[in-house]
Amino acid sequence: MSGILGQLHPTFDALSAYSDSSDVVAARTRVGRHVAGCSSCREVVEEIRGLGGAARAMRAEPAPSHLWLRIRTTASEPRALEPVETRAAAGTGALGRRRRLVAAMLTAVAAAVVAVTAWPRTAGLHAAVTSRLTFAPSRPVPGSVVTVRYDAPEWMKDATQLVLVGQFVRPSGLNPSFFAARMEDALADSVGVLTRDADGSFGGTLHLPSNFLAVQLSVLEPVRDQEAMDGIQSWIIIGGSPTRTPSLASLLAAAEVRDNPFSRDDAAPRQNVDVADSLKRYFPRHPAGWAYSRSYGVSRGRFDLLRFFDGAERKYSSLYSELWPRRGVDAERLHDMVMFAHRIDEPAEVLRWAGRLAEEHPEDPRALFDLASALHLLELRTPSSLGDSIRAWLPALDRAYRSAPVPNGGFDDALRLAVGYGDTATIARWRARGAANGRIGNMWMMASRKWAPARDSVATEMRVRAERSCALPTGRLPLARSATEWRTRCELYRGMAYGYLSWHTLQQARPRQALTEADSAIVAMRRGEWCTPSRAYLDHALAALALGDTAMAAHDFIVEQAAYPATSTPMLDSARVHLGPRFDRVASLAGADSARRAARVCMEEARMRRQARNQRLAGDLRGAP
Amino acid sequence: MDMPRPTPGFVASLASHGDDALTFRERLDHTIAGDAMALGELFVSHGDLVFATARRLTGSAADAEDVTQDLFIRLPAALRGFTGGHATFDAWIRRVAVRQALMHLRSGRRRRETSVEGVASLVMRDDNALERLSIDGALERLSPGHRTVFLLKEVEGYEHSEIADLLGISVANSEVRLHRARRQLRDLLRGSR
Repeated sequence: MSGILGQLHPTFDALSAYSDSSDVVAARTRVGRHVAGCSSCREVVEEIRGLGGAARAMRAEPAPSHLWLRIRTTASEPRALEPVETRAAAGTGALGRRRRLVAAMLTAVAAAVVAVTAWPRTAGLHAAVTSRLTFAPSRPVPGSVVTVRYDAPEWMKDATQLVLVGQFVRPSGLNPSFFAARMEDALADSVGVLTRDADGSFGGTLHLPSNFLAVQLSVLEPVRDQEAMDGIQSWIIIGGSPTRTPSLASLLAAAEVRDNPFSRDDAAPRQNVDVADSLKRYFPRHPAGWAYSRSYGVSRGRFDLLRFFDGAERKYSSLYSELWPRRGVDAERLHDMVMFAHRIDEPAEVLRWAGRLAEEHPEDPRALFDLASALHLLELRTPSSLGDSIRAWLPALDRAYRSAPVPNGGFDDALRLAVGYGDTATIARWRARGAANGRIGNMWMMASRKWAPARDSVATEMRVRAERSCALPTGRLPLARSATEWRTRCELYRGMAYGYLSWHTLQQARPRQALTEADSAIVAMRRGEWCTPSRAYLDHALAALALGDTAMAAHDFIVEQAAYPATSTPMLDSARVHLGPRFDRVASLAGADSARRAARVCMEEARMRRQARNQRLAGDLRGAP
Repeated sequence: MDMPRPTPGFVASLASHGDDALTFRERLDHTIAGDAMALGELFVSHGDLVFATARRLTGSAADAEDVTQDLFIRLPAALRGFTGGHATFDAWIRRVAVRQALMHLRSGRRRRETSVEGVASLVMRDDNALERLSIDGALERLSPGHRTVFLLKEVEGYEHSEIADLLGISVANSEVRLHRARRQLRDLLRGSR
C-alpha cells in the first residue's frame, strides 16, 4: 500500500475493531490491507483474538455445594412459590394466543389512555416512598430552608445524631461525575445535623444558598465513620422556581450528575428521580431531555409505550432543523445534541455538533471530551478517511484544551489522537500536558512509556501530590465513602507519587534523596492498604547499593521478590549479581517466602475490613423499604 | 441440618415419585407447579452453568451465589414465559443468568470495594515487580463497565446491539468499551510478564 496512510500503523482500537470482523470483509478495509502487510499489527490482532480465547477457556467453578440448601430453604417459604397456573389458564393453543393478543391490545390501549391523561404530569419530581431520606418542600427555591427526615437503617439507629454531607451541584458542565477521576472532587461539605426524634427517625434542616440549583446528599454516622446513600448514589434535591415549577438550570445541573450516560453502570437509585423525563415534560423543545433519556422505544422486541411519544429520530430531525441554522446556540444545547446523536447512534452527527461546540464554545468543559470522543468514533467507523479528517480537527482539540477551565475527561482520547495524527511539535505539546491533566494514572503511563519531555513536569506534579496531607479539610467530608476509606485511598495515591519520585530521582543519580522518597512510598502505600511489595523496594535497593549499604539492599531485593511467584526469581537474580559472594540464596528464598506470606495476610486483613464495611452497606440496602 | 447439594442420585430419587419417565417439558411444568424435586433437578443440570456465568460477570463467588439463588427461586415463575424445549433451554437460562447478574451488578451491593486496587493496578501496570496476572486476575482489575462488555462479547457471544440493549448504552459506547477493555487487558497481561 502506498502513501502516508499505508505507513501509519492503525490504532489499537482500529485493530480491535478489525479483529471482530470476518476475514473477507476485513481484508477489503484499509486496516485489513495494512495488517496483511504488517507483521507487528498481525501480532497485535492475534493477541486481541487470544484474549477472547483465553477468557473463554477460563476454568469455570462449579456451584458450591451449600448453595442448593439456600435455594431449597428460601424456595420452601410459602410466598416464594406462586400459585400454579394451569395450561388452560395460561392460554395455550391458537385460542389462547388470540386471547393473549386481545388482552395485550386492551392493556396497551388502557396504558396509552393512562399515559396520555397523565402526560405531562404536574406532580412532584420525587417519589419518596422508597427513599429513606425525604424532604419538604419537594421543589425548594434558592435561599429557602428544607426540612429533612431520615429513616435510619438498623445499624445507624443507636446513633444520637447523624451528619448530612452535601455537595451543591454547580451549573451543568462542571460537576464531579464528569471529573470523577480527581479524588479531591469527591469531597463535600457537612451541611447539617440530623437529630433523633421520639419516633426513632432523624430530622433536621438544610439551608439552601441563594444560587441553589441542586444538592447531592449522603448521611454519615460519625462514630462508625460509615456513610449511607441512596443505593449507591447520593440523594439529590432539585431546585424549583418560586412559581413551584421546575427550574431548567436545576434540572440540567441534576442531569449532569444523575443521568450521565457514561456512568450508567452506577444507576440504581431508590429515590425515584428521572431528570430526563422531567426535562422532556416541562421543556419539550430543549434537547436535554432526549440527550439524557434512557430508552427510545422498542427494545429487544418488547414494545415500549414511550416510543409513541418519543419518536427519537423524528425529534432529532426536528431539533436539528431548529438549532443548526440558528446562530449563537448555547453550549448546553450543543452538548445535548452531541449526546442525542450518540443515543441514536449517528457518529457523523456526533462530530457535527461536537465540532460546533468546540469551535463556538471551546471554553465549555465538555468541548474537549465531546470532540475527542466524536473523532474516536470516526476512527472506528470510517478508517479509510481517518488521517486527514482527524488531522483537520487537531487545532480545535488544542483550542478546547487551552480554553477549558479545568483539565477534563477528554484528555486521554485527545492525547492519543494528537500522538497518532499530529506533527512532532503537536505530539510534544500534548505529551507535556499529561501532568497537568491531573490523573495519576495518566502520569504513570507517561512515565512508564518513557516520554522524556514530560518527565520533569510529571515530577513537579507528583511532588505536589506526594506532599499533600491526607487530613480532610475542616468541615469537609467525602461524599461517596467513609473518611477512613478516603484517607486510605489518599495514602495510596501519595505512595504512588513518592514511588514515581524515587524512580525519577534515582535516574538523576541522587541516591540519598531517592532512598528517602522510596521510604516514604513504602510507608504511604502500606497505609493505603496496598499489600503487594511495590517497586519502591527496588528503587530502595538500588539507592542503598549506590550508598554502599549492601545489607539493606539485600533485604529490599528479598521483599521485592515476594511480588513474584516462587518459580521466578528476577529480584534474587539481581541480588546475586549485585551482592556477589555475599548473596545467600537459601536465606533469600526463605525470606521471600516469608514476605509473600506477610503480603497475603495483609491482603486478607484489608479484604476483611472492606467486607465488614460493605456488609453494613449491603444490610442497609436489603433492609430498605 | 445440612442439606447436601442434589446429585445424580438425588435426581434418581425422583423415581420414587413415579416420574422417572418425565420429558424435559414435563419437568419444566413440574417446576412451574412448585415441585422442589424438579427444581433440584434443574439445579443439578444447570446450576453450574448459571453459577459460572454469574461468577464471570460479577467477578465474585459470593455475588454469583446470590445471583444463582435469585434465579432459581424465581425460575418457577419465569419458566411460564419459556415455550422452547430442551435444545433451547441452555441458551435461555444462560441469557436469564446474564440479565440476573447485570441486575445484581446494578443493585450496587458490591460497588464500594471495586476501585482502589483497580486504580492501583492500572497505575502500576508497567511495573515488572507486580504480581503475575492470569486472564481472570486481569479481568478482575478492569472496571465493571469494561469487564461486563468484554465478557458479554467474547464469552457470552452477544452482538454489540444486544449488549447495548442489555446495558442501556449506545452501540458505539459498547464498541468503545470493548476496545478499551482489550487494551487494558493486554497492557495488564504484558505488564505482568
